[in-house]
Amino acid sequence: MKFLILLFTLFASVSVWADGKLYTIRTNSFDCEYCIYDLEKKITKMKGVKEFDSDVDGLLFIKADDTFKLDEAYVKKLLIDNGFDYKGMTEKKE
Amino acid sequence: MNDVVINNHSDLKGKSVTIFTLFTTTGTLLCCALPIIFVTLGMGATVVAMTSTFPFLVTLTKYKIWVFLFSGLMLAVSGWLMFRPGRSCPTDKALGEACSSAHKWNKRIYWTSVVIWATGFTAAYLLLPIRIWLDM
Repeated sequence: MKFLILLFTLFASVSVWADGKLYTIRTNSFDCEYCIYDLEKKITKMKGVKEFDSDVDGLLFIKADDTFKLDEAYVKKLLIDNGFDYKGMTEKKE
Repeated sequence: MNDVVINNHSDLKGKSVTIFTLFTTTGTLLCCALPIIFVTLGMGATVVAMTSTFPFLVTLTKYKIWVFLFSGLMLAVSGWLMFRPGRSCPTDKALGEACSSAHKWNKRIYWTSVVIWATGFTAAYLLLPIRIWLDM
């Protein structure tokens, strides 16, 4: 029974990220909630962006539409403007 | 004579605690208030340069709750040492003046620390909720 619940949870969580693109951006793990809030506002305003998330290890996640293309130079500028160091970005199709 | 020695020792201890308190509260300013001020003023690159040059700032921000708790505790101890009941200066004129002068400086340093701590606390914990509330 536990296994079935686990399987269902896994399936359900995968389905949340089922379509579109997932961008993972690495920054320094600078913990500034105020700066993140500002960054989140700017990123979620971009057309095609569905979700934005961040973790304490300096990773930022952007879930976007298939048609969305994140410009690396723009991301770098945005991060630096908000006090974060840019350390790279990966794009994954979901 | 013993009273004088005890009072001088107590003043020295109070001064050391106050200076240490100032040192710890400066940490709250460095970790939390300065980056937000810089980012707000559009000087995000300065924050990046700061955190790259002094990586301990990143660590400070990660453990900011402990930084605030410890410096807050130091403020409380320092405040108690300074304003505790029964605190008095020696009756000897020269020693009394030195004691009063030290107490005056202790108070200045202490209140500077309180202002620094309050600024850091506001920046770290109150500014974001206020901003969210204003954005609504």
